[in-house]
Amino acid sequence: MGVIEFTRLDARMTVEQLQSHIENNYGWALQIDFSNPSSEYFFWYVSQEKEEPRRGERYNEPGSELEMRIGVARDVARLYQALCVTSAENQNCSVAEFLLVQPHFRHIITRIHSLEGFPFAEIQDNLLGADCLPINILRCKLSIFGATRFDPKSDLWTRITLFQGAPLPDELNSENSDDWAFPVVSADS
Amino acid sequence: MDLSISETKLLCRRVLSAAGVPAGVDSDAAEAIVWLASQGFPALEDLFCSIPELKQDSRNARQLQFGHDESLNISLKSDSGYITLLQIVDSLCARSALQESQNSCVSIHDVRNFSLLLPLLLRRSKDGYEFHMQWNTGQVVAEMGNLWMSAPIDRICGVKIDDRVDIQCTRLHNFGSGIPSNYSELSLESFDEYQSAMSLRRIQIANELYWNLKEAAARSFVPASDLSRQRGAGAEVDDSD
Repeated sequence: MGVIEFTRLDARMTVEQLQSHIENNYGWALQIDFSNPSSEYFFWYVSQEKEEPRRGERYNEPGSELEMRIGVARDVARLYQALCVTSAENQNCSVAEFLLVQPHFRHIITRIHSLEGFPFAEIQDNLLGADCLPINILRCKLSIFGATRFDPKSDLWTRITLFQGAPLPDELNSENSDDWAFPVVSADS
Repeated sequence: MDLSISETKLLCRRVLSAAGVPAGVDSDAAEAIVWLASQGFPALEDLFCSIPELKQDSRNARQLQFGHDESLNISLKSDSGYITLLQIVDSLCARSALQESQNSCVSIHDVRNFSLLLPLLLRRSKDGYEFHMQWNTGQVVAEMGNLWMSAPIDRICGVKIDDRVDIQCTRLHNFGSGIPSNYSELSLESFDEYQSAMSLRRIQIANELYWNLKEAAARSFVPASDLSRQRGAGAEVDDSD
């Protein structure tokens, strides 16, 4: 499974337009109080040992300066605050001009522009919050891959079953070889 | 060895990120580097050589001030270009979109990583902008995701740091009007051709360079701690049932 992703950034948009877009589409992110330390209790990083995503406790572990960019809610909220300040000074300021001064917002603005028109593109929750349970995200992702029979072992990992009932090579030509997603009981049982 | 486009892009992004290039700038610059590498430019070698300068660039937010005539004159003597060239192209587009004349231009002096401008202009030309770029020994037009040029590729690689580069950006309403008849199409792919073949494409990279870049990229990873080992996914869980 692979996809080539292209992102988009509309540098000519004004900061006021971007502000309005965030209000209309990211209200869920603006409702989170990021002045509360528990709202960004966790950080996500790529582990040097496994080169895989891992979650750490921001206030107890080193490495938060290298965190992955999945704190979408927090980044949107911070961007929105910065846009409010800029647009109060110059409402015609373009995104390009805004990014000259604050280039670290390029990632989140690109994300917002690229996902415009895709209402289900974001996990509309705070993945950094102390109450975040990664198992929920994991279940969602694995179910998209076709996982069934979830058997959670903690809030960080789960055992699953993949391809239960899938046809073997010699069964691929049978009449109902595509109907295996849900296990069926045979008629004579 | 060879890598897929996605692997190469991720590697470049991590190198840039580890050097302190801001989030988002690293992704766009990585995409431009990979396009150049896929077209035979020594972009991965340039990236590795630029790492010390990148660390310096990342500390400076560049201020670009356009004049009343919608032009900008800028020297990039102390920049590697990975951050500032992206900002310049964005600003050109924004200015030309907001002006009645629909034109904006920039003169860049002392530019390093000049070839990076090609994918940046190519990409933005898909959004309805036309770019005319001129330097001492050549000219390039980017329009509708195609590059047209009046000089062979080696002249692009041979642009010297003290050459002056002029770029004019025009917001287009009528595509196809700006290509001079004496230009030949650059022997590089259009953006659409590149995009459609990306999933099959491999990038050749020398072993030593790959491991050097990999080592630089690893600085964006976080080493394990006692706490992360205790509380990481799967830790202290009996999986023997």
